[in-house]
Amino acid sequence: MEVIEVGTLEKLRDALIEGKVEEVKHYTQQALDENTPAKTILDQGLIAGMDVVGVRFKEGEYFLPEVLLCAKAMHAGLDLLKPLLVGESGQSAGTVVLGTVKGDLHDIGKRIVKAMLEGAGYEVIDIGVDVDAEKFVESVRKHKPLVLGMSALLTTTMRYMKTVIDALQNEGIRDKVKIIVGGAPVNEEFAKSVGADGYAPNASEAVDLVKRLTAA
Amino acid sequence: MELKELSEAYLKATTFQNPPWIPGKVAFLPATWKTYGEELEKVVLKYKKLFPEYKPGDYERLAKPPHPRYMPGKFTDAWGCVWSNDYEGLAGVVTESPLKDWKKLESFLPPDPEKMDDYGDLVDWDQRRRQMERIHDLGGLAFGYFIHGFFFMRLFYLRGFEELMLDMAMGERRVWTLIKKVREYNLKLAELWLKTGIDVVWFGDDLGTQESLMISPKMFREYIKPFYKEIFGLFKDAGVYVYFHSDGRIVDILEDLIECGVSIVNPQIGPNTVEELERLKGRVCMDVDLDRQLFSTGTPNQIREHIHCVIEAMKQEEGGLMAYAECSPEVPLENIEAVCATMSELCGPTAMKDFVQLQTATLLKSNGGD
Repeated sequence: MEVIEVGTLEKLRDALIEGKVEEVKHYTQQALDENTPAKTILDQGLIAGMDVVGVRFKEGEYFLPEVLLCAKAMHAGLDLLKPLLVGESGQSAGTVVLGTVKGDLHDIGKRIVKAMLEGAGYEVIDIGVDVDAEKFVESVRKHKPLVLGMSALLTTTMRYMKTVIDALQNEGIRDKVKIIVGGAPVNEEFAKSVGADGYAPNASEAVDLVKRLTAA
Repeated sequence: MELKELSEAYLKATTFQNPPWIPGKVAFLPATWKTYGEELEKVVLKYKKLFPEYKPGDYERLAKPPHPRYMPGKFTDAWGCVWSNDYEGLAGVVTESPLKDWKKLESFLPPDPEKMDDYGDLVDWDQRRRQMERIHDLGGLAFGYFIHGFFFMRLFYLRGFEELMLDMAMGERRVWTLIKKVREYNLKLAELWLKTGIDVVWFGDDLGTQESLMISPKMFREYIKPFYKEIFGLFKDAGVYVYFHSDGRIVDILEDLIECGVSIVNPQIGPNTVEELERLKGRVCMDVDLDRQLFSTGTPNQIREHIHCVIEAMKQEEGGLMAYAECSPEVPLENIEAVCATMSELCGPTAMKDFVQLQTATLLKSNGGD
């Protein structure tokens, strides 16, 4: 019988999909020891693994515990790569700023989106919950993100997204950033009505949306 | 309307015995009363059939936060979980969890339900029993309750959400110790409620998100279902009807909930579709939680159509259907009017109280004397 040797990056990807934290660390180190460039390990090991996690989440095979465990495994590998990625070009797919709007303290969904975006190679700056328009504006000025994501769980607070977009408009920086919105009560129609560039119903589709918007 | 009539209609709907009407409830959060005050009262008085207990002027009392959790600021409950809130009249969220560090687990003690409830409010069980007796004397149904977040949510309130998810994913053994502590508290509480002679017991535990369960059905069956079965079974065996509320999508485990002993389930329309719920029609009484997101963003016509569609699809001559419509403070008044008008057209009043009413009724009275 023919024995097919499985490469280290493939083992790394599979370990990540299974959420095996220690194995991810092990194979990341092994790939580095084999002189694989850090960016290749990131793209073909960790990000490739998180892509599969995203699909499984979207298809209802994975739930929040599995996604968070895989994200934890990814971070374990990323911690080993980060010092080496600093000198390499294109280390991040871009910056995304995320925040839950003013009046709303819910952030479980936002944290899942953050984990998935990081898994896709984005640098994510989470500016927290109960964030007012001024802070969103300040974050866009400061971090110059490709995408700004706003979250709300309450129908009571989701309308504040429009206030934030108006504030960005008034400050003349609305066109500097793509804006996405999400959260249980939010839908495509609402996103259009407040002037957002996109809406995603879940974390996995938020990654697809950010990819589409940043590729444009 | 006589309390007895309300109770009979409620029980007939619960047990599929041809109720005279579909029990319906329109509920307003304290923040909604605060927003609209007298204007909302005018609507309520116009559709008085749905609000048999409402008296002119009640809006002033109903607009006040019924509990510190509904006040801006921080509040620590009896378990040591810290709640934060910055919107008066809405309930806050847990932002600090006492068992983020597992080292504290062994020495951690749940509150004593004989003395206080989950939020630290003092409870007089003899008084509660007398209250239930009085309700029975008047021909009413006596409701008991467990807090919204009595088990699964309590686990993540105590441990932290991400921490609990990771613990479950990794098969962390200490989760079972945590479960044991929360279980024991709730079993003691069940014993106390059972002594009061209640007819229906209200449970709330959010298990779903907008799109799916938070944890897989397999994990639900491993960690949560055995306890649900145990505690719901205690009430069922004693002839008490079990009401279960969860936010989010739960249709994938509805069969499990039925197996656990739930008599009335309160699924939200939106995360659970009418078509999915229709398939389980007749298996359990459903208090359909009408699409509150639509109430906020839709037009009066869309709302009327929604309520008609849901009730038309779910109703049966023999019963098994109730309807619940919750309006939060940003729902436009004309939409509230559409909700009330349509509910009034299709439903009758209900003996059921929502969680805020249940807690307020039993606590204020126990603290303020008979």
